[in-house]
Amino acid sequence: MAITSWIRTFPLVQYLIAWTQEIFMSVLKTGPVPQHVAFVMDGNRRFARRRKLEVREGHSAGFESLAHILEMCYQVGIKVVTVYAFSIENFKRPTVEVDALMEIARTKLLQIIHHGDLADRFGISIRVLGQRSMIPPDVLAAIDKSTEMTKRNTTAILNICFPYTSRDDIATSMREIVTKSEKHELDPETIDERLLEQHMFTKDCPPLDILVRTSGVERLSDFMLWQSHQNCTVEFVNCLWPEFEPWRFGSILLKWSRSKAVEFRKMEMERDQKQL
Amino acid sequence: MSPAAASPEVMGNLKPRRPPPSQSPATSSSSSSSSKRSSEMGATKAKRSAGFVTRTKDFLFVNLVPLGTSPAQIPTNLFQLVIFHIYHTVLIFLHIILSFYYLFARQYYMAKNNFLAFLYHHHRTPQLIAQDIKGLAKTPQHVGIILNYKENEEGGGIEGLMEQVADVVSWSIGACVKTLTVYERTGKLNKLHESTYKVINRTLKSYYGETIPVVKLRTPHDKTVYPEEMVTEPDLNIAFISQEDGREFLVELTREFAYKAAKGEFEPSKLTVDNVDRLANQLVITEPELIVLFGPKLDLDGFPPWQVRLSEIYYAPYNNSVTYNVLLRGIRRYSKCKINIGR
Repeated sequence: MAITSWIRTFPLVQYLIAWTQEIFMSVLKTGPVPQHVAFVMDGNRRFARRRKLEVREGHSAGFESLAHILEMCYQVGIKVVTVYAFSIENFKRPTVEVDALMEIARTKLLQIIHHGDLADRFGISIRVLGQRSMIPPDVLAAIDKSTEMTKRNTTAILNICFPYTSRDDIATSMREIVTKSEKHELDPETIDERLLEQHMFTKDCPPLDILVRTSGVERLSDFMLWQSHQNCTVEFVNCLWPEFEPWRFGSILLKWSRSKAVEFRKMEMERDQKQL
Repeated sequence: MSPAAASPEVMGNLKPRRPPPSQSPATSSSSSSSSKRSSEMGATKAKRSAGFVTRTKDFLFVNLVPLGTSPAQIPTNLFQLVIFHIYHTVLIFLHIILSFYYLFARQYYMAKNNFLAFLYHHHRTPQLIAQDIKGLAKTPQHVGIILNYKENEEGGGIEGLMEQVADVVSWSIGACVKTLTVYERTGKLNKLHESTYKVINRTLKSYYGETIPVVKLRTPHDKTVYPEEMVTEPDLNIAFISQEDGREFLVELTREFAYKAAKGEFEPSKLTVDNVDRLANQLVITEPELIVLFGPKLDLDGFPPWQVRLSEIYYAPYNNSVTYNVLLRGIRRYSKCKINIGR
């Protein structure tokens, strides 16, 4: 660790790293590219504890990491990034911590949309998915402001799940459909998977391609259950979120790109055989 | 899976090819929608010739890139085409390196699996299994397993599946598991309770001798139970589920309530997470504490999404068989105890 950070102090090294990353992304772009990637940003608190920092600093480090990942997504052309920021279950944590997390959310949201920062730089439009009714009013104001200010950006979408659980997402979707049916707005016979999906928070996003969970925990923890239980690559990474470095994400993308390329290759061969 | 699988794509392959059907409409306007353009073609000659040129261009550039390239990346002029192929060659090179890495990783993991299989073997003795899980901080009460149906393979077919289930049942009883959920995507075993029961009992006999544990089989989707009359409380409840118990169950539930609500017999606000959860527990399965995948990679394969919420998911990379040591490692992972060798 010490050696790498020492090497990074050399002149031009930072520039070289950035350049390599850019080239690598251009290379990846010529193959299959995922449309929708989701992250469970786990391990900020543990990171802080391990380095004897304050919890707040741990979350800040996590935010830095997110900024890096967003940059890579922008370079490679990923359309939608969904991150798990706060679970409905997290409200069960001590009030002091919940308040602190809310404060962080508010300031970070305002920071993202700050002129010339993240959102502007990468053309990200921000959406907040989850139960709005549970959010305190000052945070809600920040959310509305950020969605409003970034809604004209079209390059990519950043979904922030706050406060979210996948079960709540599914149940809400079911409830909406049943309510519509009660008002005779739709025929119960037409209810299918697609309709349920169209009533979920992720309704206008492409299907999920990759789900990454950091900190070595091998559970989905109520995140994107419906979206990730089939036709989706789930990656459990054994490092904390602030330590989730670009090369790790790069290798996940390369692995995905290879498996898709092989799939396409098989498809092509089957089609060629049919033509013969 | 061979390293050369992706390689002949490199340059100048002029075979007619179409871009993937799953193009997003937002980005396709720039290059590939020649059919749309052909309908727009006007009456004048100039317009028609322009249409012809763009169509030829589309044909060339769309078909000179490999299948699966995102529409936004399809080159529009010769310079871009050259750059594209230089980068793409590098990508293929990286894919090949990755394939070699997989080749070695496969050897490593297979050696490790074999070694662990040798080290931890059940020897058809429940006492040994009990010893293996002794001293764990906690063991799962409800385990889910994901099996893959294999045709035309040794140990495959319906009989193969039954043998696999019987093995896992014997090990689970040894490991004090109370409920076992068997997930197989197509539900091959859902309707074969009687013969599965026979195979399970035969296997259990080879483990436990004459006084074998009692098992109860259940298929939630068909609401069938076997044996129908139980004298004693079963040692292990086995539930057979398939893809139909996943998304389809939730869709069915919604439809049922929608019908009721349309008749005014149901209040939509009652459809809460808790209520859906209660129904899912009653009508399908409860949430497994541990899900063990017996496939080579992490793929839930359509396991009911509602029930995977907090389940620990375990799989052994490159493992392709139902073996005792994979289940044991899963249980150890669940209990947070580390295996001393390897990891």
